[in-house]
Amino acid sequence: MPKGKNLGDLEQLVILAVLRLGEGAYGMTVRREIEANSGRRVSLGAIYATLDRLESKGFVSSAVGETTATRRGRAKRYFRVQALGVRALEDALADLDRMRSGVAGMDHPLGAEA
Amino acid sequence: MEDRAGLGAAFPGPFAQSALRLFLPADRREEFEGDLIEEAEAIVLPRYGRRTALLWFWWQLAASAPPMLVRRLDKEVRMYPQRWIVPAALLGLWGLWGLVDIGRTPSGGFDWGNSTVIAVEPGGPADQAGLKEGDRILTMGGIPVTDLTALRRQPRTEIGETRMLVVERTDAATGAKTTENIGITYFGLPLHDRTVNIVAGLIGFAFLLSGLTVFLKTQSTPALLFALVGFGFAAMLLPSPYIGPYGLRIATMSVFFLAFLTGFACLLHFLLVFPKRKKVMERRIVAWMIYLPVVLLVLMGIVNFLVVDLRVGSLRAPTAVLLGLVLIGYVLLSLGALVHSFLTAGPGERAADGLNFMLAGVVVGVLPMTAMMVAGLAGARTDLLPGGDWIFLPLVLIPTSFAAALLKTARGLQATVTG
Repeated sequence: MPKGKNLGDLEQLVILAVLRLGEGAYGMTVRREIEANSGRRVSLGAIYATLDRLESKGFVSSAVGETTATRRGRAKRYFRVQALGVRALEDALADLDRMRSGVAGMDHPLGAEA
Repeated sequence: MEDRAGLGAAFPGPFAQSALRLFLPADRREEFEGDLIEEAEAIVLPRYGRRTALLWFWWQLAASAPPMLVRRLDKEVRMYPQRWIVPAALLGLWGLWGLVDIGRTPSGGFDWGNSTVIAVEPGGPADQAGLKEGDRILTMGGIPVTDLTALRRQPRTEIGETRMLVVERTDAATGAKTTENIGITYFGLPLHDRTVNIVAGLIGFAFLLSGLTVFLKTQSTPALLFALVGFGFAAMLLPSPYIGPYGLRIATMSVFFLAFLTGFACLLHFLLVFPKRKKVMERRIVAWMIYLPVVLLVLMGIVNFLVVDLRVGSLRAPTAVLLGLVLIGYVLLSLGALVHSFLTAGPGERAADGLNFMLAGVVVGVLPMTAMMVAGLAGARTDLLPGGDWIFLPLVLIPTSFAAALLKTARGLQATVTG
């Protein structure tokens, strides 16, 4: 994999969260999705910074969405994972899988009971 | 029971909005505010109550500032790499001015420390005037040497100008003390010193140009760090012209020294992320720790500067020792990081990542001076070595080989993307 395309820890989580959320992926939901599934407490600023970085690499794209009353009239920005982002994520996860395959007792999916 | 108005009509209030304006780029402010308000009012408030919701909101705001600020700064710097040409050109002009000024730099031909003469250059101005090693200096140009501030404020001696020294001399045989008046007529810098200054300047220019060239070609994080290394080392290695006004002189020296220290920290940081990000960098705290010694030394330097007149010399020694240890630490860790990268990479990676270049540059760069130092420790008369004044010049290979490696990987990346 070319350098500079390596995904950081949080970048992987953010891409996965955006993929899981589908049509409903915006800053707040991405943050909550990561917190709910990984237990990792991340500030909204860190999510925004990561999404911004991913967008500048062409891994995600964004579009301004609707305003709602619960947001006191402020618009949302929806995110969508691009093909390049999916590839980068697949590469990162494949790297992990390859590294994992040689480790004794880890041939089953991570987190599952042996 | 929470009322339907949520956290109040005025929420989030002008203070929060000012804070948001400070660290959020304009094109993300509306959605960021919306996200925070929505989560605070629609999710946290009904579940945990008003106080927790407000606390949560402010905690999110505070925790969001560092990553957003770093991102914003990073974007600004990377988006306009050509902006860096201006400070680099100014620094280069400063160095050229300094090179010209070498011809006007005076030399008294003696070194002193702790008010005692520790070295007298044979045949130099001090030697001709009759100054001896071991003489205790009482006054220089009429100023007592204990008054460091007044000494520092004294303008530079002109070449050909005579400055009076009053020294106390102890007769080695009898132990009798006499006071001598010695008038030293200053010369220009001896050839050796001129050459060393010019060589330092050339190395400084090599760092500056290598850093700038790489950063204009590729705006990756390693390139940015390497450019900062270039600026820092150039600031310290380029010969500085003499600045007359005392305050301005101290200010420039301080800024340049800070740049130099930061340059060392950036060098270590650079070698920890290039060609591959090392595992140790996964812990966020490591990146902060790299720069911690710089902050510490700056604080100690400020304290030193403020109290130096009250307690002459007493605080300077610990700072000097700490500075020495920090610099040695940065050099050794940087070298260790480079060697580690080299040893853990396969032969193919070494070539592709330019590691061969980098290691060769470092080895060939430091070999002559190391050889001379070892010979000197073994007792050889290294000062008689032909061309010995130029012994540091091969160090230019370090910035140039690093730049070559960075450009090589950038080209490799381009080939992979387009290919």
